[in-house]
Amino acid sequence: MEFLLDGFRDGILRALYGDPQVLSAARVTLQVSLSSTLLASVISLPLGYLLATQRFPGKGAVIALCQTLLGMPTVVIGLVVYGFLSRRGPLGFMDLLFAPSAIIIGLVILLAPVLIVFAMTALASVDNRIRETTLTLGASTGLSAWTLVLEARFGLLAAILAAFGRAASEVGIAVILGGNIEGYTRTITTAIALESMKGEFGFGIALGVVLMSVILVTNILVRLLQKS
Amino acid sequence: MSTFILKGIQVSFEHSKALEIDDLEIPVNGMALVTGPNGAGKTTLLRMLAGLHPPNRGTLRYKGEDVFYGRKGLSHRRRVTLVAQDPVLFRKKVLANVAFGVRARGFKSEIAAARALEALKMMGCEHLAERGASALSGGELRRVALARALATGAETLLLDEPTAGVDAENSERLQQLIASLASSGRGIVICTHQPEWAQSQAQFRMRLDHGRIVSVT
Repeated sequence: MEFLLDGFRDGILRALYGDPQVLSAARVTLQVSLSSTLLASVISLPLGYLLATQRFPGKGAVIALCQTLLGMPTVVIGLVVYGFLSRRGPLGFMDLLFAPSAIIIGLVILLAPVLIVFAMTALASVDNRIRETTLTLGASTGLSAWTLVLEARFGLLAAILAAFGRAASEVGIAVILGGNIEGYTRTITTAIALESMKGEFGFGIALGVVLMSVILVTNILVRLLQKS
Repeated sequence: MSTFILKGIQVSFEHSKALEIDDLEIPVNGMALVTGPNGAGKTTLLRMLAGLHPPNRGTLRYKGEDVFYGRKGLSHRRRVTLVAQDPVLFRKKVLANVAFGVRARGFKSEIAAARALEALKMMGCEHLAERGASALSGGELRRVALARALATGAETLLLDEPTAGVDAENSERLQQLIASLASSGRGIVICTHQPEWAQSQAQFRMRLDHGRIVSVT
């Protein structure tokens, strides 16, 4: 156990004293997690709204598909996107592989079903009378939809935070699509994987604490924003 | 005459007919009273008049214009407002709730707040303005919901069981207010299964049962 504790102590000190490796991994983690959460939210929340409020043929199949995709292994997403972005793939000309953009693309695909399903659930749980009340008070259909979103804001925010946590703690996509390049695509989770393989378990755990701190601070900031 | 004109109306839910009216004119200069037992079709009638639920068959006109539903029905919904039997408030403060319909009509927030406060005063609940909607009692909620409809300035109010669940003192206050609104020229259509208080004031009385008109006076 002593080697673990020594490594942990060393890792925490390196983080506290601004070790460049730790800081750059934290920066890349924040960059890819925030970007992918934002992009996935822009794409997925309107889809969640449509699923919660509209009737259309095949709606049940779309919901079943999204729910199934919730369990999709991240390495599978990584491999599929790798196939598209590799030199021989259809999008190889874009030269995105082993760059933060490639990780962001993979994470957006991972997060989209999470956000769609959670948003749909949050919006569907809003009292049915709310929409009718907005309409009879003279709201346009746009204002009525926005009011529904505001009523579901706590559930939607929880969905976004859950997606951010999922992105920040993901490792398969980051390794396959980012290549774990130090200072460029190395995230905290891929750094943990690398340190563990090197036998630096304590430092790996310390990096885990840094990752949890990043997620905690983000959650606190969002809650403060929500209260204001 | 300012009226709702209904012709060949039929409203069905799944396989059962909720409302079936061949020919009817409901005047909305003053108070119109629709009575009937539970399940008579009163709420369905009000939701249709409010532009919220289209009939499966037939036509509805309001003050000489066809009533549309959905996106096209916005102008009608701004002239006619429904206060539901079981009203719901948004997760906002009471003042913001009451100002909602005014803001929806494009008025600035200061004007909307002033009109909302005026409507709350009329309902005797201006002291609730800064309270959260979830902190209201059932009776307060109904009065705030009525204030919210009043603030919109809609020319006709459709009230579904407006005094249900309100204590005796506030019920009397509501009755007086509704009567004064009707006498000031605001169109009021009331649906209730306890019609005693409104019988003497209504210029139009109709009784529904099983979705059909039983009597009109």
